[in-house]
Amino acid sequence: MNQAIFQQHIFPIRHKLFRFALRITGSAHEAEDVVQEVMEKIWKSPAEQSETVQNWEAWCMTLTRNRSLDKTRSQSLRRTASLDGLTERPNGTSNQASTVENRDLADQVKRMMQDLPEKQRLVMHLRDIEELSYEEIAEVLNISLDQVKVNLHRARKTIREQLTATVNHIATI
Amino acid sequence: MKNFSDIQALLDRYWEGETTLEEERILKAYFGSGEVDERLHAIAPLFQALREEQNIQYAKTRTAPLKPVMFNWQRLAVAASAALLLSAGLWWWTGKEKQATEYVVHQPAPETRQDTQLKSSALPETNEKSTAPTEIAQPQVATKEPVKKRKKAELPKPKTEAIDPETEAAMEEIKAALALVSSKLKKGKQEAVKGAIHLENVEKISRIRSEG
Repeated sequence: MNQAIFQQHIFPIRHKLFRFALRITGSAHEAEDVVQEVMEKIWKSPAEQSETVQNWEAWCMTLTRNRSLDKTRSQSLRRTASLDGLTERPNGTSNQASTVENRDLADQVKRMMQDLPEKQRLVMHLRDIEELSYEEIAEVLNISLDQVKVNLHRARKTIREQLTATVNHIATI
Repeated sequence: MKNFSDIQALLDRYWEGETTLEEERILKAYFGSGEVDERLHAIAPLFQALREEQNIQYAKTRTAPLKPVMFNWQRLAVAASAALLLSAGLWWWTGKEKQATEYVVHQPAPETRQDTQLKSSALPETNEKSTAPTEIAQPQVATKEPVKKRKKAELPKPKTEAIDPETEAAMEEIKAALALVSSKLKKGKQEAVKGAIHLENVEKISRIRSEG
């Protein structure tokens, strides 16, 4: 692996890789290990291999996905670990964001996302958080374009229904 | 800044999964702007959650997870002490054996006979147990002569009786050391299992708490 390519394409997306690994493993420790292992693997990969790569991000995300799944399977980790503690909470970004209820609701949305079925969870993560194209998501998750769209639609629908129900419930109290 | 109806239209398409990445960025920017229409407040937490998730960063601080390292240290300490005890015991054992061999080789020497007789009289109770260790020690001493003959010839002699208390003491010492090591190993293993179960329980409880 060429150092220039590594610095230009790989290193800047380390946060994306970490978030994706975290989404799959549910553990910050595991996710950190995954990112380091993926980085090492890429760094040691032969130059000819990296010449064939067209989309660095999708390629790295695929490696991250595979490594994360390996780890999750081998250690039978559960993905229920909360992501709340890792999230930065900017103050005053919205006139609502500072209210306690919205803070709780945002945390609840995160839990709702984490509780989605795996495919929906990963598709929504790659689209709404990492902003990948449908084609890239299909490549990373090794599924068809149709499956990407169906899973994204279902995931957003579920979150919308659950969020609306929660907000209405709060309103009636 | 987009007005309410524009955003509402974008949202409708967002739920259906029909928005482009650019349109989704417009939605995110709108909900992050701090000027969200009241009618859309119910949806705001979703975009707040997405924004916060996007801010999670990779910051590797540890080189290795803490738990396994502690585990290894414990194991290493147990293994090292076991190895130390074993090697010390072996060193002592071989030293005693060498001494014993010398005694047998220099059998005719009258001085050693006196010495050993004194020793055997000093420790009379050990003589009874002497048969087992001599059987182990003798094949190493007897190089060419038939074992049966040597046994018969040597057993009544004070030489072998004198060697026995020492070798036996060495044996007992090593047995005790090995018993200690094995008991420590068992105990350590049990402690490790207990610790692992405890950690699992703590993790379960914290998980249940965070979910509840």
